[in-house]
Amino acid sequence: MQRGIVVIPKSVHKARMAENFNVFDFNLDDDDMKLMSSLDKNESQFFDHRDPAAIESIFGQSLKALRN
Amino acid sequence: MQYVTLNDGHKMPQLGFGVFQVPDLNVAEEAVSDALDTGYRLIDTAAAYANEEAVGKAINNSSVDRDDIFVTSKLWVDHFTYEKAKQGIDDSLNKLGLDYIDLYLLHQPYGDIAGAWRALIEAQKAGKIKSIGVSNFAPDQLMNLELMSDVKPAMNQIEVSPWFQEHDAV
Ligand SMILES: NC(=O)c1ccc[n+]([C@@H]2O[C@H](COP(=O)([O-])OP(=O)(O)OC[C@H]3O[C@@H](n4cnc5c(N)ncnc54)[C@H](OP(=O)(O)O)[C@@H]3O)[C@@H](O)[C@H]2O)c1
Repeated sequence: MQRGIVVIPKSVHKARMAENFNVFDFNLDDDDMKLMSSLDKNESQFFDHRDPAAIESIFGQSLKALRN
Repeated sequence: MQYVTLNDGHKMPQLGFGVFQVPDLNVAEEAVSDALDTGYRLIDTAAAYANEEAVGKAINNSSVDRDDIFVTSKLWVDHFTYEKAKQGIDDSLNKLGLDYIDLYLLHQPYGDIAGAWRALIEAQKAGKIKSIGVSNFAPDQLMNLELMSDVKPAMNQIEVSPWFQEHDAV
């Protein structure tokens, strides 16, 4: 959020919803932000959106429906 | 709540609640009700999440004013032509049971993006959607969309986490 990004966590557990909402009473300082930056692995937890094989395996059915 | 101002002037809560992978309509409705109780004012769904009905029910049954809630939904790729997109927008509105959607996104960068985008622009002009945007667009795809149309997307929703920080895109 300190990068100006809108964030949308999901949980079906009310206690976790509250935990994820509880972010307005603190700030990370510059050192913390640098430390966070260093965690980047530049790796999606989903799939590579620019890989036709991945696109076909995930969206193949929908893209077939689009062509019909 | 903190808000961001989109490029079309609309304000959007900076913290919201997503309902991806909650296909059970009862579970989804309860989750959105709980989220609204907790203080969330942005709910993020999509046609592909198959729970727009549940999201709409929770919003319509909530004591929170509709105008104080920001609803995002998304068009799925099987509707990415001009004609199908028009239908997809109306389907989302019907399923949600709402008069307008705050933000509607092209969920993925595949198919007839130009045609689907034109349908979103028209729906925005008709008052069915307040803001229009995209999701999962790489920076060059975003640039290309901006070359296709006079209307720039108000949002590009992408994956960002501590392990995938996307400093080039954001
Ligand atoms: N545009 C797109 O293509 C796209 C793609 C992915 C996601 N999204 C949006 O982003 C939202 C969030 O993404 P997501 O649902 O994939 O992932 P997420 O918010 O990172 O949640 C992942 C899992 O973490 C658990 N969790 C949440 N808060 C927790 C906490 N405080 N402690 C422990 N576990 C916790 C949740 O399980 P429980 O429910 O069991 O608590 C959830 O299933 C989605 O719901 C959707 O709205 C959009």
